[in-house]
Amino acid sequence: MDVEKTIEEYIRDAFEIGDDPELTRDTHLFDEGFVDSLGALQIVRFLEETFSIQITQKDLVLYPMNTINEIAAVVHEKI
Amino acid sequence: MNTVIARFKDTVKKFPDNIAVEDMDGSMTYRELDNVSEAAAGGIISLLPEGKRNVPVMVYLPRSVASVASFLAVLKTGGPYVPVDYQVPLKRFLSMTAKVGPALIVTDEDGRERLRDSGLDWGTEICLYGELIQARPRPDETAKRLDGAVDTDPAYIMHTSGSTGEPKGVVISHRGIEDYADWLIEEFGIDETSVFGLQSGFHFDNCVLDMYGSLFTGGKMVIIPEVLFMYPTKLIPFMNERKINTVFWVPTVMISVANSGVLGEIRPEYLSTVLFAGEVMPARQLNVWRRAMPDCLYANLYGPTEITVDCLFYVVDREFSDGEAIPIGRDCPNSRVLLLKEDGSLAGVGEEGEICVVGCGVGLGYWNEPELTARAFVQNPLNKKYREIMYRTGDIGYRTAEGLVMYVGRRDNQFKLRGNRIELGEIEQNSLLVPGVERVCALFDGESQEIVLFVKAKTELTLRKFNLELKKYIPKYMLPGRLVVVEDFPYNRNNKIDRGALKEIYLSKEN
Repeated sequence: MDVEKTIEEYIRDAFEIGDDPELTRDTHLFDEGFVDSLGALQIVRFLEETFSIQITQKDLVLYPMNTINEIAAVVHEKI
Repeated sequence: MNTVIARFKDTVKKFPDNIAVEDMDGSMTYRELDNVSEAAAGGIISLLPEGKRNVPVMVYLPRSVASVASFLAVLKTGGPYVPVDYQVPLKRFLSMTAKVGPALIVTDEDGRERLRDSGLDWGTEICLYGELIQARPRPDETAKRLDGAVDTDPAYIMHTSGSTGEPKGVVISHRGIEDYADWLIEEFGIDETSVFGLQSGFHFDNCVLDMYGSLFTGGKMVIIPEVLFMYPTKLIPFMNERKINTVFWVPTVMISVANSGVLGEIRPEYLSTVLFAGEVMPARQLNVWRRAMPDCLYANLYGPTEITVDCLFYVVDREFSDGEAIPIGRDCPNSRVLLLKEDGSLAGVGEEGEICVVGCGVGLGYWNEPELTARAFVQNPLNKKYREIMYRTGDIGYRTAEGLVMYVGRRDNQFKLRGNRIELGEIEQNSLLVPGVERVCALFDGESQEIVLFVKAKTELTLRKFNLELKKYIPKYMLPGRLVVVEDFPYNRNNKIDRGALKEIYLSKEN
């Protein structure tokens, strides 16, 4: 499975971003206003269900998960 | 003499090896905290203007052990600390700095870089925490300064939203903190076994409860990483790992934990005291907590930033049905709450009035803002005999026959969102700084709990791009959740935007 692609498609769809070219895989999702803090919870739920992984409190505190690539990096660690 | 530092020193003597504060990177015992803050105080004193008292020092650090050590260091120099949100927009920070006129800003390397790269003129010394704590302690100098202090000296300045578009710095005294802490220690049985789970930022006055509740007793304060509050299912295991038994959280967090269903799966097993304040706590979510954790003590607290944290409290002592309002309760000791009607007379039982507060918990005013201070901190109109300063909260409430205060709402354009106090005026003033914007009006939609901004603009706007620009001036929690572009506004006879009419048009379009 292409982790990056799966995550990007989900984010574009769930947060109604569509094909806006300003969103890249290195865009800060929160600083650039594509996703709000409640959306972060949605993303983590999506990751846990889709990839059958557990994202722990330590992961959340230790790893930046602000861009699609950063989120994907955490997923790659776990699968 | 009678300062919060004297109280802290008592604890250091009694419990030198207890852990005082803990974050994700480490912890400090009371002895360490005392030594580190003493060194930093020595470093700060060498930068203070000679012979001057009560010089504020701004602290711009992430929520961490370092913040607490810095606050204590500033207090040891005899001046008030000014906590600044590490996420604050730099332009807002700059206007706060200009108004406060601090001797210096304490920060870390990232913070200093951010301030330097901004190209803004900060007009004050910027010092690294890491360097200050390497300074030579000057115990004779700090002792001299504290000996000369009086308990009405300012201890901290915290900022709150202002309708003019700029935040106001509320000044709180040592006396205020000590009285408040004495009450909470006694009322909730706080002692050296208490482990606080800090939710609040240090720029938000709720943290005063956790911080002085522990510093005055030998208890521990665990700084819960902010990110965990977005993930309730991860938050509870963390609390258990750290054995947190006491929390003081905003209802938003209590609600999100209740709604997540996590309490049905895993319980915060050490938790015994659950306090909340900052906005209305709905009984429905409180009931979820009470069902899961029936043996905890629950209390609803109330107080604006302009007084020392809280002036009313209610220990939940009976069942509440899901839709029922929870009282904000009775007066804290050393606070007296007066409900005043529009004509200045005292409201009777069941009658609505403005919640006004007297007592030594009342703040000393807004720093460097004599006019705003005179307007909000006034002579108690019922007292003609001597000077008695009363703070008018702008909140409306009434008292039940049992003497409990019930919260009704606001008198003006202020509201609370996720525990943050927001003036619509501040959003409006700053929105005008966004290029292309001609006129704006902000409304708060209580139903969807979001800020709706009506904009008349020359250019096309999207919410995301608009907020990207607005975020330079105001904190994220003030950003509108919806943008409505209008051709023009409805006006009233004074040529002001007719908020009532605008609200009706908006609501009719919604449905």
